[in-house]
Amino acid sequence: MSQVGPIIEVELDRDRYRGQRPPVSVVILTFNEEANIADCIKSCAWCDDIQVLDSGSSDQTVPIALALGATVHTNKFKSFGDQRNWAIDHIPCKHPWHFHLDADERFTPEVVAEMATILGPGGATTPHVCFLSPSKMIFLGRWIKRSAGYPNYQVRLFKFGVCRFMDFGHGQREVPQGSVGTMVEPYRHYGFSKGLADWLYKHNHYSGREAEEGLLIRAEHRMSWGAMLTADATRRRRAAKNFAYFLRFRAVWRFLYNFILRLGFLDGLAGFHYCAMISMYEYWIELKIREAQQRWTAETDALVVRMLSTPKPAVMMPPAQQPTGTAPQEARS
Amino acid sequence: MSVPSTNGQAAPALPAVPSPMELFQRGHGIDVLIPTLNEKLHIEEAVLNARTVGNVFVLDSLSTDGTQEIARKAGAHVVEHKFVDYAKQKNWGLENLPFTGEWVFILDADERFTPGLREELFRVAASGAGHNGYYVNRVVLYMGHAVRHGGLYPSWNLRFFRRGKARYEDRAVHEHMLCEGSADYLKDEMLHIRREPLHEWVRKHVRYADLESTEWLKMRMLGQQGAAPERLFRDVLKYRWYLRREVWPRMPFRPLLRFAYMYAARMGILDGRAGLRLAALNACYEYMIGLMYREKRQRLIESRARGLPSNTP
Repeated sequence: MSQVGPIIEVELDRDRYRGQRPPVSVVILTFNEEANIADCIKSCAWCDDIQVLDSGSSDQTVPIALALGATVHTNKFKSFGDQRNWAIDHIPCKHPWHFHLDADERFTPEVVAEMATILGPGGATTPHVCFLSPSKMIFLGRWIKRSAGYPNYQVRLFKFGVCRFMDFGHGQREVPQGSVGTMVEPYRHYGFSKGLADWLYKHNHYSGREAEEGLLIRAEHRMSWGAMLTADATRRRRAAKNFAYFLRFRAVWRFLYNFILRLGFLDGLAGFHYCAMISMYEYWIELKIREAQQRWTAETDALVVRMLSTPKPAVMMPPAQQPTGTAPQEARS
Repeated sequence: MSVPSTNGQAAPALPAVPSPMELFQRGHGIDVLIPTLNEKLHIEEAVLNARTVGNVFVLDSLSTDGTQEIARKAGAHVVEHKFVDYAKQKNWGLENLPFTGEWVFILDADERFTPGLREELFRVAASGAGHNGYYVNRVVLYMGHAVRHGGLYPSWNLRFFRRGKARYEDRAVHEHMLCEGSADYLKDEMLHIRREPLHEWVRKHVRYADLESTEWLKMRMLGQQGAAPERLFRDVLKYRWYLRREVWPRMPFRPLLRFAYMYAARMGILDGRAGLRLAALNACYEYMIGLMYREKRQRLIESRARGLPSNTP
């Protein structure tokens, strides 16, 4: 990770995109992304306004971003929703439309061309205030087509001033003031680009956040059968996610759903490992929910007391060694 | 390096032949050594529990969570020493702490003496039986359950020995104790309390998996050979070591096998939800090792393929 390639020799080929440049500023949220940031910014070569919002990286992220011509801002990270809203409020973007790209995500020429077409010159062609973008998850060099939830729509492209974000789970959801459009061309998501250890550490953290969300949802009995049957893919996915918080053996169901029902087995070995890792993540979420509901530690403490209970302290310390203050006693009961 | 005495009192000299009365006054002549690092959740209880057996010495590896202060307040002698590895740390403690008793017990902060074990230790210490070291069994307490199956029980460790007669072998992890003279097994057991939240478990085991997968890579890709099998089969311990280091990494479906071994073959199912949880978490751990090994191997292959052309001008 410490070794970063020669960063200066990268020249962004902006001229190539001159004809079809959409009126979009790109905002990239980063934290210690030196492994990703160069490739990410290179995929934004078409854009003349690249804004990086860093939350205090201790690695080479900021120097690399600056060397590649991005503007870098810094804000302490609280949550994804908060950070995205900070970017909307405080970063003076050149264009009326913003695209929030993560450091492990990449544009493709097709996405850029589509944005140019749907937004039109000046971004005035479309009636929508934001767009849902599909993304292709790449794992072990392969597009995980079936099990990674493709198209996995997220609002990334939105008009300045009429769309904000709120926190949800470990991520965020959009709050648009107007209609929402849908893009066709997927950007690329290299969700494992920083290594498995990093993915696992991150998902250890995420599973805690998801468990908190799950506890809230279970407490409020927020579950809608109707929403699970609508034609709207995003609403259906979110309703299904809420439903999943009520299930036992989430990990098993999620694996069967991803691997069998969604034909994950067609994605080969990479698909299998993807399904298994997501299942492990689900398992952690379920365990953390149960951990919060059921007081294992209190039960263990009670057992310890039971197994250690004895009528009297067996021996006094010799006077020379007797510390002042407390007297010897049995383990706290 | 001189040994700081935290209570500001010089340790009394050990008489050549202690009388039974003196043994009693010195707490049956047993000293308890507790090595710690950031154990603020456990240390008070551990020290109070250990003080019922004898003098307590906490050997702290420069904790940052106030373990030292809590231990001192609970009545332990606290000595700080920079950590290198587990074996070196404990050996340093055995050589340098101002022990006064004839016997030493090494206790971890999350372990406890049961009343039965305490009586047995006193009996052994007072009788002056012929053995220099004693193996102690321990039982894991997890999710409110004493885990006695799944291959986790019994778990024998040489922890109780005559001062100066035993030390740890020099090894970074999974160190064993080497004892002069004969050793015996104690009947009663100690408790090993596991109450870490899952978050903590995952964090630790991602790190272990990272280290373990690096070991596998060294062994299988970088040509570091284990000892030849035909020499190893003489010795049961080494045979098991051979299986674990050489055969196991080459098996397919390791997570499933690990789960089946713990839960079915070693009857983890009899431990209820705790047995299920431990088997499943161990399968997770096994899976993480395997995935990280694949990833590291892939990277090594890629860098080898790229390595030569990119290095030549």
